[in-house]
Amino acid sequence: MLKEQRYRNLIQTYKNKIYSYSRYMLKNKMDADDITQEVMIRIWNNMDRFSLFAAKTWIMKTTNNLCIDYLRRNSAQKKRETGIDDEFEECYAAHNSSDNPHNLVHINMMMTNVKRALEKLPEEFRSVFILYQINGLKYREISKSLDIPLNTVKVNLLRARKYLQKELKGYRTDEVI
Amino acid sequence: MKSFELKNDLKKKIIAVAYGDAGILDKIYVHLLARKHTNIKLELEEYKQTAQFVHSLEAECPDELLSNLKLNKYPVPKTKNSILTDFFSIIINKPAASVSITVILFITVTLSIILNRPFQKQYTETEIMQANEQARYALGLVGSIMNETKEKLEKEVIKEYVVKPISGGIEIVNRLLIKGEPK
Repeated sequence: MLKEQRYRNLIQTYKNKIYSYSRYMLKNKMDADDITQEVMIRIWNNMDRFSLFAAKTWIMKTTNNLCIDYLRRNSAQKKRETGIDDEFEECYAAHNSSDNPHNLVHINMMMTNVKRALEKLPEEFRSVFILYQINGLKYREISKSLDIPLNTVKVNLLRARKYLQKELKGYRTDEVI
Repeated sequence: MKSFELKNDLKKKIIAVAYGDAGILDKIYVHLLARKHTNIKLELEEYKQTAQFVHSLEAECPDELLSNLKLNKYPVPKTKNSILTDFFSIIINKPAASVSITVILFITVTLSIILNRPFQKQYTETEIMQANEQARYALGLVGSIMNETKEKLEKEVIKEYVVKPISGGIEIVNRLLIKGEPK
C-alpha cells in the first residue's frame, strides 16, 4: 500500500522530467516514449533499492543510462532521428497564447531555432544542459546522475550555453539575410 | 555608449546573469557595465532571450504512457490528487526540507515545553522549618487577635450595647403594662 503510494508520487513528480530528458536526448517521440515507460517500470522494480533522498538522482541516472544505451545501439540508424517534433511548438504556443499573430510567429520561430540548436549540442553538453535548464537539477545532482565531476558539470553547462547562443546567432543572421 | 572588450570571465558573468544563476554582486556589476557599453547590453539581451525560451522547454509526458502502465497492473497516479497524496508528494519532492522542518518543529515544541515549565525552587530543611515557625507565629498572632476580639465582644460590646438597651426596653414595656393595668 505504502509502496504503491510512494510509486504514484514518484511517477507524478518525475514523469515530465524523465520524458523531457529522453525526448531531447533521443530527439524522437517514439523512442522517448519507450525509454520513459522502461524507466517507470524500473522504478517499480527497484523501489527498495533507493532511498527517498536519492530518488531524483537514481531516476535521472537510470534515464540517462537507458538513453545512452539506446543511442549507442541505434548510432547506425541515424536516419531515424527526425528532429524534435513540431508538437512541442504547439505546446509552447498554447502556453503562451497571444492575440498578436506577429508575436506568435516570432515565438514559434524562436522555439524552432532553440530546439534545432539544442539538437546540435554535443551529447555531453546536451545532457548537462537539459538536466540543469529544463529539469531543474542542481550541479551536485547532475554530477551524481551522470557520474561526472562537479567541475565538469559547470564547464559543460557553460560551454553548452555558449554553443547554443552561437548556433542561435547563426539562425538570426540567416533570418536577416 | 562605448564598446567594451569582452573577456572570458566577464562573458561567464553575463551568461550567468542572463540565465538567472549569478550572485547579487555579479548582477549589479554586469547591469552597471551594460548601462555603459552597448556590446555588453546586446550580449546580455541575447542570452536573456535564449534563457527565457529554454526555461519553458519542459515536455509533458503523454497520458497514454500512464494508461499503458495501468494496463500492465502498475499503480499509476490519479489525475486529481487528494490532500494526503499532495502531502506525501511534498515529502517525496523535498525530503531534506521535510526532515529539517520536522526537526525544527520538534526542537521548538521541546524548548517551549521546557521554558514554560513552572519554576520550582528547591528549599533546604532549615528554610522549611523557618517558614513553618513563621507561619505558626503568624497564625498565633491571628488567633490571639481573634480571642481578644471575642472576649471584647462578649464582655464589652454585647453587654453594653446590645443586652443593656434590650433589657432597658423590656423594662419600660413592663412598667407601662403594670401601670396601665386597672387595679
